[in-house]
Amino acid sequence: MGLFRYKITNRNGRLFLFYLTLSLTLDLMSRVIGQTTYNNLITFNVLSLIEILTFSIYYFNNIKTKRFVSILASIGIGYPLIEIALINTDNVVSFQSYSKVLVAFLIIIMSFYYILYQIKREQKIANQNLAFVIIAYFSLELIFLLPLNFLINYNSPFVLYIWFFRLSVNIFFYSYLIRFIWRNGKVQKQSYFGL
Amino acid sequence: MEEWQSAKTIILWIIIAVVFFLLLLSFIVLLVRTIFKKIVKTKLAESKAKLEHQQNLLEITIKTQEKERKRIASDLHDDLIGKLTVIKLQQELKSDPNVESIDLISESINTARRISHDLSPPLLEYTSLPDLIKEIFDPWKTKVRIAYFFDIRKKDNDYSSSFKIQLVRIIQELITNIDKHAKANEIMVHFRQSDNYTSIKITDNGIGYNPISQQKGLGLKNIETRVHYLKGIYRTKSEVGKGTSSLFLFKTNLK
Repeated sequence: MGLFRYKITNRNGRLFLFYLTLSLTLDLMSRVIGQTTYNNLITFNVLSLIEILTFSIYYFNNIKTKRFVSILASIGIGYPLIEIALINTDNVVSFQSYSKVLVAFLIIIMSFYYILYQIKREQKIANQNLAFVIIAYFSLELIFLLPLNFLINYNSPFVLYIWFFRLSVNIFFYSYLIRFIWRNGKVQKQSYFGL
Repeated sequence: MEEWQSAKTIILWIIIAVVFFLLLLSFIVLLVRTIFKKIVKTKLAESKAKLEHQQNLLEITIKTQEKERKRIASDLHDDLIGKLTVIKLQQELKSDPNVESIDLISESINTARRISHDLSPPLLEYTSLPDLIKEIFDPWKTKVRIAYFFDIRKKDNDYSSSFKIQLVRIIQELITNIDKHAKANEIMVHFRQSDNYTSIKITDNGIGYNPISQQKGLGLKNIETRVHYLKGIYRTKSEVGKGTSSLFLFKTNLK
């Protein structure tokens, strides 16, 4: 949808299009890595990096006081990089990454800041629904992926339900982003008379 | 032992989860507070704009009213009185003047002049407020006893014509009310002019009224509108059988 409407999609739409494309690529790569090395846990950290980069750029473009976003983005980019360098992904039993948790937390803070910033300074919150969807999605991500070690190692149908629920949340979030990209294209495509 | 089975990890997860929920809760509280503040601010701005609009409307209405009164007064004075005077002269110059007609014409000229002066007091700019007040009350001396108490602490006469004319209208309205309803035989006028404030209190010994049960008439509403226009304060006190007293307070320097 995004590729089809790429020319008429605005900056935010294009950003989310790259995010979805990178996420899809990472998903495919994780399958290949999983098949070849039997361990694709490193992709959690890479996904964290993609997420923090995407949403930092999004809020950087939409908030006038950029310093706060820059500080959060620096922390969000630095921590997964340190974890990639230090963590031992080969030892599945002791693997516990907090990159996703921290990144989700930072994105939630950025969203809070954005909403409060918009309420205080503007009449209407731009992309209000998107900001609340981001908060909801990353709050769930934070809670789901906090006990990552438990989810990887504990062998129970209960864990499967959690993964399934997370999958549903992901599908909902990605669908929302696709709709956002599509609507952005739709809004910008105006008739000759501006209708 | 797997990582998740360690007590240290579980405690850390619980702490992170609790901190996160507290943060979420704080944000919701902050968000609600900010939204309420914004709503209050918007409402306040709206009412301020509404008030400003009403004030502008009031100002325009009063100014238009005064302009129209001035025009009518001018027409009466320059046109009608002029013509009546010519008729009177013609009658007087006749070999056999009709005295009755001449008297009637003179009376008509006086009435027209009085109406004209009521509509637009002459030399308003050059007349001091105490003199203006006396001018309004003096014609009523035949009907009621009037006592003046002037306390002038500020000698300069720097009131704007607009202020003076509005005060004249207020006093005229009050006198009309006293004449129509109060059945008073004594009126006391207290006027005080100081550096900061100008006050006028008009008290009568009439039959009074109950301000709670009695609805405000057009006259009182007009007085309130004019006081509001002058950004002043107006208080009235009345009791059945004990007369009525009206107090007006305005900021002095209005020019």
